[in-house]
Order: sequence, then C-alpha cells, then structure tokens
Amino acid sequence: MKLRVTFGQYRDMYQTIGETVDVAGVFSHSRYTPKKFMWKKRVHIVETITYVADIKNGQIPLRLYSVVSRGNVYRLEWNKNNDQWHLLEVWYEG
Amino acid sequence: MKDECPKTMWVHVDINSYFATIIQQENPLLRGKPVGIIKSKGRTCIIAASKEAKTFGVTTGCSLKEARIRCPHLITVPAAFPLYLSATQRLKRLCTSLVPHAEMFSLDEAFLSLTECAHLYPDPHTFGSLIQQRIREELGEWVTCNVGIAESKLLAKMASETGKKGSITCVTGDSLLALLATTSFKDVCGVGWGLSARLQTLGVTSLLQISFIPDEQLIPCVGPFWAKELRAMSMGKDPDFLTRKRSASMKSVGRTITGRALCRDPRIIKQTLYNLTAEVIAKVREMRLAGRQIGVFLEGDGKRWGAHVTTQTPVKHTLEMFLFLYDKVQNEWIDQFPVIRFGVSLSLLTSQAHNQEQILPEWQKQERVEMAVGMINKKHGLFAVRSALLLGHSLIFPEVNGYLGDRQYYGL
Repeated sequence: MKLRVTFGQYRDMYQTIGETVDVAGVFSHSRYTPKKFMWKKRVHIVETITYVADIKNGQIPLRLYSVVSRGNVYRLEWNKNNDQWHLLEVWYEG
Repeated sequence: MKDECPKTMWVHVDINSYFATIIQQENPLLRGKPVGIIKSKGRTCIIAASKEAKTFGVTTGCSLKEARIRCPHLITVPAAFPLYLSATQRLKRLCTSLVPHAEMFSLDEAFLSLTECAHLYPDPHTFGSLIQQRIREELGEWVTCNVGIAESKLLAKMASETGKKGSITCVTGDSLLALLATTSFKDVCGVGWGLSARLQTLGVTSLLQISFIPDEQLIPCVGPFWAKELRAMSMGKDPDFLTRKRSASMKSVGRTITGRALCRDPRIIKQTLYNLTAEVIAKVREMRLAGRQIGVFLEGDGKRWGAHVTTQTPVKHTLEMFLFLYDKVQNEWIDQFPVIRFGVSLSLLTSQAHNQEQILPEWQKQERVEMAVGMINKKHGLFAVRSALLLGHSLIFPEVNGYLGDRQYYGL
C-alpha cells in the first residue's frame, strides 16, 4: 500500500490498484450509469458518482468514473473499445 | 437588455482554483480541506492550491517545504491532467451552447461574446448567474467560477480576477475608473513583472495612472510598442494580443519536462529527448503537419543551452527529427552541465497535403514504420509500440498545460 498523504492531522490514504473489475449498471437515455462493482470478491454499491471524464489514450476512448462507496472514493476506468473496466485507485480517509 | 448596455459585451469566466477544485469535486474526502497540487508524486513544487490552502498563504509556485510551514495540514495530491483536459472540453462545449462566439483563453478561462445575444437575457448579471449554474451542473456542485462582464475582454478579465470567489462583476461607467485605478498589475492580463517593474520606476502602479504620463516619459521607459498598448489599456480598451485572431493552424509543437533531479547520465538525457521527440512527432502527424525547424534546449545547474536547425524538407519522422537534434546536442553542447529541464520543438509547420513525399527508399521505409507504429498506438495507446531506445526508461506521456499551447491538437 502506498500512502500518498500522511502528515498533519489528516491521514488521507490512497492506494493504486490497476485491477480489472466487473461493473453492473444501467443504460438509460443514451447514458451508462455504474451501480455496483465487484472487487476482491466483494460487491461495492455505488452511492454517488462524483465525477465523469472522457479521456483518450492515443485513440482509445476511455471514460473515468469517480464513485463513492461506503465513504471511500474509487476511480474506475471504462475502455470503450473492449468494454473492460479497471479500478485505478482508491482513496479512503484514515 | 437595458438601453444603457454597451455595443460590445464580453463575459470572462474563470474557474476558481481549477486544478484543486476538480480534484475536490472528484474526491469528496478532500472538500473543505487545504489541498496543494503537485505535478506528480515526489515533486516539491505546488502547481496549484485549493481555496482553503490559499487562505493559509499557499500559492502556485510555492515550494512544498514553504507550503507546509504556512499550512501544516496541507494535503498534497498529484495533478490529474486528463481530468482537467476533459473538464475544459466540457466547459468549451457549454460555452458554445450559450453564445455564438466563445473562445478558451486558457485551461480554466473562457471569453464569451454576449454582444450578439444580449437581447435574450434581461441583464448581464442574469447571464452570469446562468453560466455559473450551468457550470455547477456540468462539472459538479463543488466547482465555482468568477464571472466578469465588460465592454472589452481586458476589463472583463480584470473584473473576474479581482472579484471574490464565485462572484459576478459587471463593469459599468461608474465602476470602470475604480477598477482601472485599484487593480494591481499582477491582475492585469499582459503586464508581466518585468513591465510592471519598469512602470514602477515612473511611479505607476495602476492602469489609470498611465493616462497621466506623457509619451516623452512613457516611450523611453517601456518602448513604443508597449507605450501604445498601455495607453489603450489605460482607457479600458483591449490590447493587440486580446483582439488578434488566432491562427487557424499551429506554427509549432513543443514539449518540455522538468526532471525530479539533476541528471548527468548521457543515456537518460538521450532517452528523455527521444521520448519528447516521439510525442511531438505523434502530435504533428495526428494533425497532418510536418515541420522544418527543429529546436532543443537543456537547462540545469543555473545554465541553459539551446540550438535549432532548419531543414530543407519538412520533417515528420521521429528518428529523423531526433537525429537532427541529437547531432546538435553531441556537437554543440560543450558545457555538458547536469540537466533538470529538457525541451524539444518542431516549428515552421506546414500541412502534409502541401508537402511532396520524398522518394528516397530510406525515407519511404521510415514513413511505413511511422504509419504502422501510429496505427498500432492509436489502437492500443500511445507508446504501446516504441523504439528500443526507450526500454528501461520511465515513459513521459503527453500532458496538457495551463495556457493550452496545444489547443488545436486537443480540439479546443
């Protein structure tokens, strides 16, 4: 585990993951909304989507979803070319 | 719109503490806390600070050590450049949906012309509120912006720069003189610290004072160009660089990077220059351009060296560009000082459609290699296929910069 910030009274912690995850969501009104994802054999319910960003790696279209689940913030990446999902990083307050 | 409204009307939108605000929007755990943005993990320069951190005196350019003295609870977070670029693209789309003419001035600033559609809104302030609301809807509830509205871009930008966070400031006849008299030069677009210092020698600290300085004093101090520009600015008119139409095509593509520490290893210097060259060529080829002037510069240990070469024919191959610039490095970089900052550029760009393909077999072979690599990297990501020279090298990927140098490449 990597600690990104550990000084002062705050101990906000961050972990780089980079693992493939399974995501279930709803496709409605031409928009996909992730509702839950499975990571480490555990289902995480998406409570809030805090940010969505469309980015590109070369010409590969990627969409980043930053979601809150049980107080932790997860950054999920959806590769629109191969429909693969990756969990990039997790932030949680220590 | 009321009758007293001026003929032209510009709206300047400036997102507050952009880099930090977007990160706080993404991560609710960071909201309301002092956040300092660093370029990447291990870096020691604050490139942006959140609203909360600014209240402790943490500013852009502050060293991490200094920032921690001012704000012991500062949370440092690496920048997320792809997120910023995505937000800017959304901001651009939003602005163009509201007015017929909108232009991005930098990553977090936009100018909107309200002249053509002023009649659609009861007053400029209502339009300011609308854009603030739409930005919150589009980018998130944590994202706030300053809005400045005035007859010229200069005044609109000054108004938003000097306003409180999240404010809407309309510059009218009454407030114009006060704005010109009270705004310090650091908040005036185009007046840098050098020009500001020269004006200080005349006792000038605000734009309004320039109106009272005769040309006999002003021209020897700042030169004829700036004397004319400052004279216009002192009356609230736009200087040349704010009215000039942007060129339709890019003139040059460059890339610089500051390393983590001084580098003396020739192999790493070579790899870094090749990496930057590959990025420049990838961008140039994507825009279907080719360039004739190749530049390189190195900086470190208080020294700086740079050189350029102008070629007969346009260059659009990584190896070709690299060989030109590395030849300069090997033969003309005499000092061999330790390097911390690297830069390469390709200028005198022209459209590939106007350039004749070369018939030399070696050039044709290189072109086929570039095309194949380009196609694979488009499908699998930049640097998925790369030169063996970059093996074992920590890859440097493209990053958007604050002043949007590559706006055409990013479609802004």
